[in-house]
Amino acid sequence: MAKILIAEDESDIRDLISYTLRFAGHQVIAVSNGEEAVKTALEEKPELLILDVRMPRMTGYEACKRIKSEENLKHIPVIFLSAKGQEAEIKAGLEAGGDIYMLKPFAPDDLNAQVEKMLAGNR
Amino acid sequence: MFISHPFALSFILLLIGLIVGASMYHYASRHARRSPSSQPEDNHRNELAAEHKRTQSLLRIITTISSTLDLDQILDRTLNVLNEVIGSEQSSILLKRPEQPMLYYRASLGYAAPPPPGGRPTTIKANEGLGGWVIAHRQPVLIPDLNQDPRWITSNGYSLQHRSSIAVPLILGEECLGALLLFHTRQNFFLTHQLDFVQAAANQIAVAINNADLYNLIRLQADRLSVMLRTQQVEASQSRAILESIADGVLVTDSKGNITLINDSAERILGLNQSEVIGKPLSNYADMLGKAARSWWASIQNWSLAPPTSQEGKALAEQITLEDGRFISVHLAPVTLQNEFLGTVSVFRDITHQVEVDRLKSEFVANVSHELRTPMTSIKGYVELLLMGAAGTFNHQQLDFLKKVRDNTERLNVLVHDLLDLSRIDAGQIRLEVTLLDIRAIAEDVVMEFRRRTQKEKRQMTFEVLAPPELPPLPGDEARVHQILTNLIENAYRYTSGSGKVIVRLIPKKDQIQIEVQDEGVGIPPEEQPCIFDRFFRGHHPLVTASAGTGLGLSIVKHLVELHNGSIWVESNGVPGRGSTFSFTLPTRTPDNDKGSDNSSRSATAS
Repeated sequence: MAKILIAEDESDIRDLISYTLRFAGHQVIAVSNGEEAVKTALEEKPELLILDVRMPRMTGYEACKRIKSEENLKHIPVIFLSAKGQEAEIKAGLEAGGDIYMLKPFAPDDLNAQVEKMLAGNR
Repeated sequence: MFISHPFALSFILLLIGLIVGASMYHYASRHARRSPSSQPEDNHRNELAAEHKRTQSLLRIITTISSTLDLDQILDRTLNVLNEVIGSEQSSILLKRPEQPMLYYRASLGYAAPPPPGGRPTTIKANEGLGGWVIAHRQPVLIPDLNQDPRWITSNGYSLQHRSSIAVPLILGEECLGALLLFHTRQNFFLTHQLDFVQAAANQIAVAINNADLYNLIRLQADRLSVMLRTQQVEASQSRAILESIADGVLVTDSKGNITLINDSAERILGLNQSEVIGKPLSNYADMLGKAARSWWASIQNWSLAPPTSQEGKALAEQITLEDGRFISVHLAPVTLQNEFLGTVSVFRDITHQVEVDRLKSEFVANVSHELRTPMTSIKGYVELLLMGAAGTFNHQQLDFLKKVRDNTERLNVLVHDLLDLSRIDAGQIRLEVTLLDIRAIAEDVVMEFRRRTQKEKRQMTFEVLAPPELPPLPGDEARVHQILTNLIENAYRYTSGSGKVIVRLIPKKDQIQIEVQDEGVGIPPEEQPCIFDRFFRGHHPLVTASAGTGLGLSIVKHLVELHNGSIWVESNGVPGRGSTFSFTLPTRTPDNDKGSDNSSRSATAS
C-alpha cells in the first residue's frame, strides 16, 4: 500500500483512477489541476504522482517540473497519463521529469502494473 | 520555263526584235543582190513586206502574252491578231487536261460561240478529230477542204460552216498541251507558208498557257501556305493565351539552359520580370528558390550538359519551401524531338494553401482524436473495472455484454490511433528517429508479447523467429519497426482460426534484410491481394469481417516501410489453412535523413 497523489481535471477519469488504485489497496489523494498537485505534494509527500497532461491553471508538465525542482520531492516517481500520443509529446513529458508516459485510454490492469513497477523501483 | 520578271520579258522581246530585224536585213540584202528584173523584185518586195508584217504580228502576240497574266485576255488578243494576220474567220484553242479523257475548249474568236472565261469541257475525246490528230502527231496540218478530210468530225450541235483549216499543236518542250485551230468558210483559203507563222504563234501561246498554269500553281501554293501560316499563328496565339491564363507558372529553357519563355504566373510565383529574364541563362536566377530547389536546378544543369535521350523521358516532381514561407510544387520535364534535346519545361504551382489546409486537417484530426480519447478512457476504464469484479459479480450474459463493450471500445481506440497516424503520414509529419536496430531483438520482443497474449486468451498459437546467427545492424526507427511487425503478426494471429503457427523469418540480403511473417490462417484470395494495402479495405472472409479491424493497419504499415525506403508485398494462394506470407525489406544502409521528414525537400522521379 502506498500514498499516491493524482491530478486529473476530468472528474470521471479522476474517479476511475482513484477507484482503480484504491481497489488495488492504495491510499489516494485526488486533485483537479497542476497547481493543486504541487501544493498537495508539498503537504502530503506522496510516494507516487500520477499527472494528467492537459489541465487548467497548470499543465502536468509544469507541475512535474516544479515538483522535481523541490529538493525533498524530486525523488518521487511521476506517471503521465495523456490523450496525446505523438512522439513529441512523449519526449516533452520525459524531459519534464516524468518516468512513465501512459496513453489514454488505459486498462486499469496496465495502470496497476505500471504503478507497482514504479513503487518497486523506488523502494 | 516560267518568266515572271518584267525586265526579263522586255529583254527577251528586245532580243527577238533584234534577231528578226537582223534576219530581215540579211534577207533583203541577199534578195537585192540576186534580183535584176523588176518583176521578181516586186515579188521579193511583197514577200519581204509580208514577212515583215508577220514578224510584226508575232511581236504583237509576244507583247500581248507578256503584258498580262490573265490567260483569257491573252488568248483573246492573240486569236484576234491571228485572225487579222492570217485572215481566218474562226480560231479556237483546244487543250488536253491531265487525267481527263475529253478535250477542253479553252478559247475561241470568230463566228462560233465562245466558251465562258476559263473555258468549258467538250465531248471530243483527246485522241479524236482534227485537234486530237494534231495533238497525237505533234504536227501542223493544213486542210484545204474539211469535208474531204476524214480527221474532221463535227461535235454534236455544231453544224458550222468551217470549210478549210490550219491546225497546229501547242508544244512546250516535250509536252503537247493542246491544239490551235484556224478556220475559214471558204475552201483552199489557207496557204502553206502561213503554217510556219501559225506554229510560231502557237509556240508562244503554249508558253503563255504554261506560264498561266505555273502562276496559278504558285498562287494556289501561296494561298495554301498563307492559310497554313494563319492557322499556325492562330494556334500559337491560342497556346500563348492558354499559357498566360493558367494559374500554373510555366518556365521554358533551351538546350543550353537559357530562359526562352516565362508566363505571367511564373513571373508572379518566382518573383521574376519577364522582360529582364528572357534569353538569359537560368543560372543567373538559380538562387531565387534557395537551397530547397537544388535538385530541380541540378536536373536542368545535368540535362544541359548530358542531354537525356527521349527513351528515358525522365521527369522530376519536387516540393519547394520558399524563404517567405510559401510552398511551391515544381514539375520538370525535358523536351525532346526524336533524339534531340531541345530544352526543359518547368511547371510551378503555389500550393501554400493546400499545405495549410493539410496542416489544418491534420491538426483537426489530432484534436478530434484527443477529444475522443477522453470519453473513451472513462468507458474503457469503467468497463474493465466491472469485468475485474470491482463492483460485484455478474452472470455469464452480463459478462458477455460487458466484453462486447470493451472490445468495441478497443476497436474505436485503434481506429482513432490509425486515423491519427494516417493524417500525420499525409501531412508528412512522421519523423523517423533512426538508430541502429537489432532486428532480431525487436522480432523476439514482439513475438513474446503475442505468446503472452496467446496464453491469456487460451489459444493454441505458436510463434517462431528464424534467423541466421549473424545479422547486420539495421538503421531504422525502433518504435515504427516494432509497429510494422506488431501489425503483421497481429493480422496473422487474428486471421487464424483456432490453432496455427506463425513464423517470422529474418533473411539478410544484399544491402537489405527481408522480414517475412508467415501464417497458417485464412489466406487472401488473389482478387483481394491488389487492394490489401488500400485504406479502409477489408477482406471478405467471415473471420475478417467478424474481427475488430479498421482496414487502415496495412496501409499505415506500407507507408512506414516506404518511409524506411523499403518495400512490402504479400503472397498467398487464398486457400484457408495455407495462410499468407507478408514480406518487407529494410535497407541496411542509412536512409536519407530528409526522407519523409518534412515538406521542404520531398522528391521523386517518375518515368
